[in-house]
Amino acid sequence: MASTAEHQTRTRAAMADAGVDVLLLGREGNARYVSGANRLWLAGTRPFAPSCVLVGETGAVHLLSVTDDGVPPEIPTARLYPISWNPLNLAAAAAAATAGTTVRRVAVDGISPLFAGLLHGVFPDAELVDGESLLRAVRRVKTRDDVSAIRAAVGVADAAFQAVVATAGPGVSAATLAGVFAQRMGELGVTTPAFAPVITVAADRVAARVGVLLDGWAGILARTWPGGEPLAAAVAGAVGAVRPGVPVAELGDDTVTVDGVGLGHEELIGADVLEAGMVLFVGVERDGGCWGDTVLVTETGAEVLTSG
Amino acid sequence: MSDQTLSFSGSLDRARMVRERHARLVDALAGEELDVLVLLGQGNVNYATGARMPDADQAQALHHRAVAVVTADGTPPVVFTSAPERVPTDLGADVRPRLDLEWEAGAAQLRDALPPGRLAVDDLTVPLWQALADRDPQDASGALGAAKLCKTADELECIRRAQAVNEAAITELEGAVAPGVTGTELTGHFVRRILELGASGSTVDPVWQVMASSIAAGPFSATGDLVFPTVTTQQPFQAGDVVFVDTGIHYEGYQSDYGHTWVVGGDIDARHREHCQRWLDTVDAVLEVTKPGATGRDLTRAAGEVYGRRPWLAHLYLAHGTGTESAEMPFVGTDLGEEFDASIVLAPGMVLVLEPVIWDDGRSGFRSEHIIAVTDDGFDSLSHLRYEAYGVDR
Repeated sequence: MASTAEHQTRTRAAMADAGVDVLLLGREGNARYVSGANRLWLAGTRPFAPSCVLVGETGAVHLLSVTDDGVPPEIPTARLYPISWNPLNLAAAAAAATAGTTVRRVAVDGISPLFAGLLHGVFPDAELVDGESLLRAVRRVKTRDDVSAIRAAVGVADAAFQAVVATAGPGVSAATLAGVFAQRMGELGVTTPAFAPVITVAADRVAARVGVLLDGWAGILARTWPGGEPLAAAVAGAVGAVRPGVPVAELGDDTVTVDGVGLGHEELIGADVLEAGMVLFVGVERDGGCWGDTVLVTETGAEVLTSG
Repeated sequence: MSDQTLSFSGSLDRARMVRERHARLVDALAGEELDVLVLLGQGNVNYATGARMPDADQAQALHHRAVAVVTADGTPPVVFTSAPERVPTDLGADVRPRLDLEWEAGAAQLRDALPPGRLAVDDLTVPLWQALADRDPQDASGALGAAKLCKTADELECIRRAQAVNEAAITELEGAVAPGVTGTELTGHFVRRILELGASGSTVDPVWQVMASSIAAGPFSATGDLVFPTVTTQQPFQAGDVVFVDTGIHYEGYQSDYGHTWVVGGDIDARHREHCQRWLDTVDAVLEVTKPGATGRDLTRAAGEVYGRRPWLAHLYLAHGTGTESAEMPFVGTDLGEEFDASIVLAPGMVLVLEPVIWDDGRSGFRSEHIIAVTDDGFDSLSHLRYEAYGVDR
């Protein structure tokens, strides 16, 4: 919970800087960042709807949830609003959360024509602005607790991956290996993947990219065996260039991909400059193989969090 | 266990499915007087083009998403994607490199690529919303709903197959449900089995909720009604636990929806049998009136009251549709109210997931899910759940 309190402090500071009075969040990673709530995981994209409200002036977090199960005790039950099939009710719940405060600028992390209209209706004097870029910047540098949570997620991904290595062999299919990863995750108490395991078996060569979400935090790795050494060397080369001040685009050649890691995938572009406390997935995919590690940017370079 | 995938008896023509869906969407655009449809939701992109990206958590799915542009003139759609090999060739789609709509540059590229005319979108990133402000984008749900509401024969076969895989995995799992086993372990078994059966992943974190015997003894409820679903934990099951099960996978992007109730340890008594029978009676009463022309209000009226309450959850529904989204139109029994229910008129090809909840407060209850497709003169069942454990053979 210490971490969620720090997330809220950081987020409210960013809101104050941007003159944002209220944040309406539809993306689960954003909602979890500011609320600490563990709601039912669903795969894939879903259209925007305000499922978490952070009021800048009061710091109150309001959450779309029919129950307090999975909701931190810091959020009183009076601040839970149940799911509704009438979008107007969700817009009204967002507006009710701001009662008694001044709302001139409302930041959203997504929008639809429907909700643009409804939110204009319930916040007639307010301007709708970009909340996704605001949270993207806030979430990028991790707190100490965030890093601990990612380390724990990486530990689960590593351990479940070891079961894949132990099972791989002549005649064992990619589907079975993906299944073994999922089963081991479950045995380790984790049921939410960062993505469905991406595993190929060609002759005796296995390429596996796997990731888990533990308490929402991602841990990801990719390995190819046998013969993964050139891929590993390419990743190691890119990781060797990681240090604060370096632009993302300068990490390795164009076969190297660099993504942000946090509460699931986080967006990075080539022009973004590394800072200590950022967490990255640095990977390569080529020649039917893959390799990649979850990496913490430190004050002096990089710490590879994955083993295996 | 083996990774022998299931064989299916029904026929499926994927190319025909892709063509028929696109044609329906083009017709729906005309019906809504729209010229251009931009789709960001991955279920909608699949519907319009057959392009499906790998299963992933929301944040990853947003990053990798394919984007589709459909036009009312019926020309092949445009698909922007990093995975051109995942776009079927049946429509002759114009496949272009992925656009990153999370950033201004990608949003501007999409804006510049769009044909003129009246535009609708299903969802927007903030940069895309800003880029399209001059186009005054309309909400696409009218056109999408009109196209998707009634399924083609191939779509129904996909739902049948998704459900068959889900049911097969659960059947093999039932032996593993025992005192001391945790929900997370059960999820591991389940996901392994669906992957081995050829599914690409679970679309919802599987739910195995141990029900308190009364609403008051359960978790806080913002509606005052029964709380369901809750997130699976590492709490071990105990003998006699009543477990509400809810799982979902997909086949070609079409969703299954499996629900059932288990009694851990298998000691099913007269009370459990009574709850199960009441659930079956409720479904039978609803199915009795399920045919073209019937309204959603007819279904809720047929469901009546059981143990002094409406036999479904206040925050959910008596029935929902399913397709490329796990819950899509038609919705019956929601907080949209009776007037809305009365406006839902059943037609052939509509799919309904009936999910009444029988709740006998203080003595627990029963929940399962039954999926049907409306036919010309009644309905076909797309799910085949078994209730022998409750002494019911059907």
